[in-house]
Amino acid sequence: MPDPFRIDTSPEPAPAPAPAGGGVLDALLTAVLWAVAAAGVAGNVVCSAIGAHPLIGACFGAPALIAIIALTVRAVRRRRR
Amino acid sequence: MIRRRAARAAAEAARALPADPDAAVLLHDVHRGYTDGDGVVSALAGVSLRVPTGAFLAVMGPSGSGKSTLLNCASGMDVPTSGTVRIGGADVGALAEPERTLFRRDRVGFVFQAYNLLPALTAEENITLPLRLAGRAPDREWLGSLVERVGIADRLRHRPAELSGGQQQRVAIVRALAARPAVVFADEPTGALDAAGAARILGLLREVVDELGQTVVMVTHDPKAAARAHATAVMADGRIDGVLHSPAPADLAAHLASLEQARA
Repeated sequence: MPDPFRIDTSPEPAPAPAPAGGGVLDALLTAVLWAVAAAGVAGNVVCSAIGAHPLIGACFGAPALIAIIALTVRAVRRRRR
Repeated sequence: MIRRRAARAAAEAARALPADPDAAVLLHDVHRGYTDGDGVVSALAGVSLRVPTGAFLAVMGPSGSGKSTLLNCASGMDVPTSGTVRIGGADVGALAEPERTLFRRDRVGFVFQAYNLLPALTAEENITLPLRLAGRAPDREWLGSLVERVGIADRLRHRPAELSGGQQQRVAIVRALAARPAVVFADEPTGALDAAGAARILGLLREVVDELGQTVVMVTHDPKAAARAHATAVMADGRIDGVLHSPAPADLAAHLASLEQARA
């Protein structure tokens, strides 16, 4: 008779399916935010360099800023976890 | 960063461990290290242990063998450096700090050597305090049956200073059981009591295991106290040296003496 105070580490007969892609979605969102931030910053730099209208620069700058804030918030929340 | 790595490692280890619905507590390959001036001290060095639901397990070992660290990790008070800790099937290591605190409040009961009762509150207020903090209404019928069982029904309106040590510990036991926890962890519950008081508290703990199906894990130095449990896990150097089933106090004392000798 096995010792009830010892752990049986033999694998389960029917392993549960992998959890739904919460981790994949999370990674995808992170990648999209990084892409938006990079494209926004690059666009904003180019606009400044060629002396484009400030509104055009803002069209790149605003999404970049939002993406950076979102990335920061996600990083802080993950750290706390 | 280290905490994140530890949490990730715990989650990976948890996935490798099969589900065990009959276990109240599961520890798998649990390590816990502390940093001091001379480097990392390993308080737990790969502890694996299963506590079946409704079992009474005592944990013994020489000073510094890792008993208290085991209790802290098994109860969710502390997080292992690596390994898996499950209470009632829930992976405690994967919970973030606020959730872990709430989990302990709702699913784990504690009995301490020093009783840890609030001196300004009556026995009844001490018993219902955790439930009130959780915003839950006390189950009067359940509490009534518990206080009758432990024999403190006539002491409920007294403050801790007006109770004997044994009575205070009985109040602490009722407080631990009030929320119907998955497991009760007791840290030297009889350490401050005389022989008669200790015998009564141990009898009571055994009674709640045998008659209410409660799971109890108790750290103790006393072989006589450990002998009241179903089994005793003997620790040495951060590891489980062995699990003895219904051992006689003399056998436990001899086992501990041999461990002490081996260390000397």
